[in-house]
Amino acid sequence: MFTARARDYFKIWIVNWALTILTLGIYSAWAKVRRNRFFYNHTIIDGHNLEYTADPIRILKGRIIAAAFVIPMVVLEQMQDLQLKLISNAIYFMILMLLPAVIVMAMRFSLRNTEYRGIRFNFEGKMGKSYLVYMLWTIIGSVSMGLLFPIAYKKQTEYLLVNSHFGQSPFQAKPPLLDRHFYGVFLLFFLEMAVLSGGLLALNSLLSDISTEFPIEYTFIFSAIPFVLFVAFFIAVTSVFRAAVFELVWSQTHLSTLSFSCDLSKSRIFWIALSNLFLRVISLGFLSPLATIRMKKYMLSSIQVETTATAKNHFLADNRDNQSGSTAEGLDDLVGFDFGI
Amino acid sequence: MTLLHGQHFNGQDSQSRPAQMELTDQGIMRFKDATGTLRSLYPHDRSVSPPMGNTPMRIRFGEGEQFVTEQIEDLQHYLAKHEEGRLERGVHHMEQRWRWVTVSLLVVVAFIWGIFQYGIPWTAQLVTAMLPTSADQHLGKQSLKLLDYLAFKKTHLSDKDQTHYQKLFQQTVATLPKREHLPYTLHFRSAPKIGANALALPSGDMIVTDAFIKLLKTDQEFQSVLAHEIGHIYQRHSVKLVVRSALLSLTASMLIGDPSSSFNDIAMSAGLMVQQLSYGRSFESQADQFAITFMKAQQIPASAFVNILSRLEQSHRVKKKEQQGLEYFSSHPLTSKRIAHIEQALGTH
Repeated sequence: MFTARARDYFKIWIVNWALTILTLGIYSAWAKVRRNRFFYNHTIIDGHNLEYTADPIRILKGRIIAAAFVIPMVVLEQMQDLQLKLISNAIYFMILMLLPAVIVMAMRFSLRNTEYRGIRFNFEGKMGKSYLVYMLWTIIGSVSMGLLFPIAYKKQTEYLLVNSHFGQSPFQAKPPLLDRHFYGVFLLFFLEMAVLSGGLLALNSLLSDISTEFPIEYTFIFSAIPFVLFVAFFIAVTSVFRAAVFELVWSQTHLSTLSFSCDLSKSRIFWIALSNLFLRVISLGFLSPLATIRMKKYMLSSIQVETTATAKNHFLADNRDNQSGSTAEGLDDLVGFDFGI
Repeated sequence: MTLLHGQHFNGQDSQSRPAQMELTDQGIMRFKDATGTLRSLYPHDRSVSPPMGNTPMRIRFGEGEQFVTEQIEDLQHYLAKHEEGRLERGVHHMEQRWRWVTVSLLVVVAFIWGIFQYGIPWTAQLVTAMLPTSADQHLGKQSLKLLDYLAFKKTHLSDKDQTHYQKLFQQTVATLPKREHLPYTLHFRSAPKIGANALALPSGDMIVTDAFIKLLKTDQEFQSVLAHEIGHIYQRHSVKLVVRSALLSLTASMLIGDPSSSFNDIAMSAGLMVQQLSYGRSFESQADQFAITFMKAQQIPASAFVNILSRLEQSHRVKKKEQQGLEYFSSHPLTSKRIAHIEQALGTH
């Protein structure tokens, strides 16, 4: 159950922005914690909510370290001097090489700071495996001209899922995730894109015929319409893709004796994504909180948990002392990744 | 003394057990678990999670234990009385009051506006000042190559005309300020696609089209346009524009750090484009001012500049764009405005 209301989130969102600006970005770490706590606290499973326990100071440290790499990289990129550009590329390459490690650290930080009924989550994925799925398999995916990419994507998703734990209990996929399901999702995506492109090409030729009736200054409006529509639909189709993977994974997720099911309508997702885009643009970004809540609410509400009455009380905590570094979390934020299921 | 009812989690298993927490007037909390055992929690024994909207609040103590209660008003009231967790409560308070939310909204809007209106131009100015003129040189030469490839053809101007204008050019630039390593050179080109135009490239190369020369009636008209264009070169407008673009994309990508707002790409490009055009307008005004200074010094009447501007405008038939409201989308200020400003500065003759 997701009890968050857009108006409540808007207040948190705008105060976060204002304080972040006034503190020249320092508050952003606290803003992140507030944001996550808002979403977690309003997610209620069986009468109890989730909690996010991260320490803002650690997030701040992580962000500062990450910024120390990313900002020089971006600045040097803009320079005309070839040598400086090379340094920028070197930094970028280094970040790329470290990415699988960053993913592991980010997942650890994120999950270990997520708590439900007093028990923390965890991520036990090994570094080596991370490099295998994120580096090797991505290369395989691209080298095969994208033909094997769905498999790479499946392996990555599976890696994140099976190495996540709630206390001592690992998450599992039952039945195991299959390659062909992922091929299905990718094919759907391409199918949608094909239909979309076809439709817009037709629209484009129709509009150029019409545009000859109008003075020349207005032709750019006619050519802009298909372009804008294309971008909007593309964003919506991407959301559908993400939702399809979400549904696929959650339908097969098990946690000890708990099983999950997920049922969402892709057309509804498409509509929410499209209307969200419209809302954001119309409001110059100020209705973003509403858009976020709408999508999250629908996606989270689509998950059902099935369990027996006693099973839910028998999860055990994993009390080995684990505190992961937060640099990964910081780097993630700056570079814009969003991991986790 | 206040009594809170809630759930207890022991941090070892996921079982929830009913429990109570007494809040005493001395600032001590007494925890009573399901078995009835009492435990005293002094301020350093416990920590209260910051409030979050209307969701239950947590008091953490012991080894991963927590007490969760829905009586958040009572707890907050107690904390306020005993002055705990001021900072978090302050922020929470702000988020609850629409007054503070409105203030935040204004801060954000003002900030974004300020960045685009002032922050970026100021930084661009700074960065451009640090760039050597070789940057201008490089930029200009590249542009010239491109233009020669795409739009320009060899001039059809007679040798006599060319000599005349070259001489006029030399005379004019002798009176104008220049930068080190940035010599001014005049080029003639035929450009049927572009029409009548005079272009100033940052490398100091000035290009005039045959059609432009044809429009001229007096030498002073040529000089005033020249001064305007040289103004662009001297004030390094092209370089500033490039620096501004770079800064704009940098800032935009920093502001859009939020991964959930992918719409921004479109909105930003449109906004950026419009901003770029408005920067172009302020540059044009600066170049006009440069020309006006020159004309004052050389005692050239306003009519010289005004007439050629009008003729240029007519030759391009940009009448449609001149409609009110469309100014924001065009890169030149309305010609009528420019003319009015020039006449006001120099006095009509």
